[in-house]
Parts: sequence; structure tokens; C-alpha cells
Amino acid sequence: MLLNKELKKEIVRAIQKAEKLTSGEIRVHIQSKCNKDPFAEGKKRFQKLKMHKTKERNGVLIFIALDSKEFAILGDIGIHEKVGDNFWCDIRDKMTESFKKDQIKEGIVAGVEGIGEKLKHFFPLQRDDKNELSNAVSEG
Amino acid sequence: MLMPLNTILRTLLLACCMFVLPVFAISIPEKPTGHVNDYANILDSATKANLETILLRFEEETSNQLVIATFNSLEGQTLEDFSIKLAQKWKIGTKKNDNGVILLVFKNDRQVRIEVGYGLEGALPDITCSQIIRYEIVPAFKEGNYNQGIINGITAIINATKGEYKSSKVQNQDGELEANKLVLSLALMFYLIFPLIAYLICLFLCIQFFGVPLGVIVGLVIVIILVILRQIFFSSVFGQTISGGQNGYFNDSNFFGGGFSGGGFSGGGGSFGGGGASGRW
Repeated sequence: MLLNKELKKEIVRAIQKAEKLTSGEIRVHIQSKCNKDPFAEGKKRFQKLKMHKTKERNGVLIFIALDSKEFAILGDIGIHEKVGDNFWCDIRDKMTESFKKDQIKEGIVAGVEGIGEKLKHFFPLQRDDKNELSNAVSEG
Repeated sequence: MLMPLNTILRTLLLACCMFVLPVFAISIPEKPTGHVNDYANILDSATKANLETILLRFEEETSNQLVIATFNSLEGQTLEDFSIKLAQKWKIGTKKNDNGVILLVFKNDRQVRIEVGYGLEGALPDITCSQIIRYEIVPAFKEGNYNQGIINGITAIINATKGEYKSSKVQNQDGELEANKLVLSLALMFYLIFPLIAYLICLFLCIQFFGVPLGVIVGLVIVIILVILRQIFFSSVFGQTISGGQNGYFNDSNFFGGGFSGGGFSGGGGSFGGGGASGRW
């Protein structure tokens, strides 16, 4: 297990909180190593988790390779065309700052919150919203 | 009869060569699942993600399939040979329309090629492709900016398929730029300063001729008529010259907007079409 239960619970709580106000979907995936470009690997994971199957194409994956110290943030086409590249880079920089101080959980939570803010703005919660994707941290 | 030793050796060597040569030649990768295939690693991940979004959109809107492939080297093959083989193997575009385009880059050979399916040759004739390579892609590549070069090229190709691409040659050649500046300043003289003087003289003469109240009115009427006539004349004759080379053809926002119709890269697996960022700590 890469993160202890407590940490994972906190991350899940952050995701729940962030998704409370939006129809967007956030997931966190953690693995130990990353053999190639984290973005490419994250993309694969994105598809494996079927995150591109959301109705409004607004899923966001935070992909982290703990031992390789690499990570990627991936937003689906629906959210990407609204926020643009700068937004992802901002979030990345914020997370990098925490990670560098070895504050993994804080970094992830900050990322989730930042993404939640934007999702809330562009994809406000609809009355018939359902949680399209699990909030659990994916590992492996 | 026994063959002389050197003949045997030569035959053996020849056989070896025939066997070995194809192995040395660059092998053509399998048909990819994404639009951006950066085998040479010259693009950063943000650009790749951005391009992937653009190309996915483009395909969804037009069914035209535009694919990027970058390689380190041709490894001795000719550019034409390799591109055609690749095009045949990948079968880009729909079978019915043959509307695929491949933008090929060979980094070490400094070669760029745009391979166009028959269905798009009308919109992307050889001359347009060569202009796109020469004026959009190569200048950025020369500065080592592969990301920008590819983005420029893709933008131009997409615009060309919509019939909107115009070579920005004027912007790229210093001599012509200078000439353009001269035309511009001359035009400014004719356009603003001379007429202003003429109007003032006209007004002055009218006042001299008709006296104060009537002269002012007649003068103004003549000036207004002149302004209108001049407007018509200039917009038909000089309009082109004055605005040439100033239009921005590279507007990224061109790509976005329009409906989303589902689907994805044909033959591909999933379809993540968004963007993002990656980093390390």
C-alpha cells in the first residue's frame, strides 16, 4: 500500500467536497514507478479508469508515481477547452511546491481543491447529477 | 566444378547483405492510436496534449484525419519512399474519402513532408504544402522551436482544408517586408495627408468664391462628396495592398467552438482528448 488509510481518507474527503458543487469528476491515481512520460502513462490510466466516459467530458485525473517523483494532471476535452493550458500548469506548480517539501497529501488535496474550484465554475452541479466515477484513490 | 573461393565468398557476402540490409533500414511503426506520434521526442507534453485536442476536434468536425509523426532519422531511406510506405501502412483517412494527411518530420535529416490523401489534394495541392513547410514550419524549426513549428504547420494545414490558408511569405522575407513598408507609408501619404490639404484648399476657394455663409456650406458639401468618392476608390484599388501581410492567420481560437459529436480516432482504443500538465519533484 502506497499511502496509509488515513491519508487516503483525507484525499477522498477532498474529492467528495470538491465534487459537491460540480458535475465534474475528479480521480486520483497513485503508483510507485513510472517508466515513461508521466503524461503518456497518465493518459493510459485515464482510459483504463474509463474517465473519458463522463457525459460532459469533464473528468480530471491526478496521476502520481511516488517513487519516480513524477506526476501528471489530465483533464478531458470538455474541461480542457474551457480552462486551457495555463490552468493545468498553475495546478502543477502548486502541487510541485508541496511535493518538494515532501507534503504529498497536502499537494494532492491542494490540486483537488484547485481543480474543484474550476469545475464548479464551468460545470455547476445539476439537479440530476450522479457521481459518474468512483471517488476512491486508485492504486497500482 | 568447384567454384573459386572468392566467388563463394562474394556470393555469401551478397546473401548476407540482402539479409541484413532490410534490418538496417528504419522500420515503419504499427498504425498508432493517437494523432500525435512523437517518436523523435521533440515535442513537450503540453504541446502534444494541445495538438491531440486540436486534431481530435478537427477529425470530429470534418472527418479529415490529420496525423503527426516525428522520427529521428530516415536511416538512409529516401523521404518519398518512407512517407509513401508509412501512408500505405497506416491508412490514414476514411476509406471512402481518402481524406488523410500525415505531417512527417525527420529531425536529424532536417526533412519535413506533408503526405496528402487523394481526397484532400484539391484543398492541399503540392504548392500549398510546400508553402506551408517553407514559410510556417521551417522558420520555427531553424530556431530549434519544434513545438511552434508543428503548431504553425498544423494550423496552416487545417486552414488550408477550409480554404483559408494564405502564405505569409510577405512576413517572412525581409526584402519584401521593406517594400511593404514603403508601400504603406506612400499609401499613408496619399490616403491621409494629401487629401487633407486638398480639402482645405477646396474649402478655402469656395469661401473666396461664394462669400462666408454660402461658401462654407458649398465647400463642406464638395468635401463630403470627395471623401465618399475617395473611400470607394481606395477600397477597390488599394485596400488589398494596405492590408496585405497584416492579417493574422494563426489564431488558435479558430479551432475551438462548434459542436462535439463523439467518436474518436478510428482504430484507436479509448479517446482521451483533453489536455493537462505533468511535472516532477
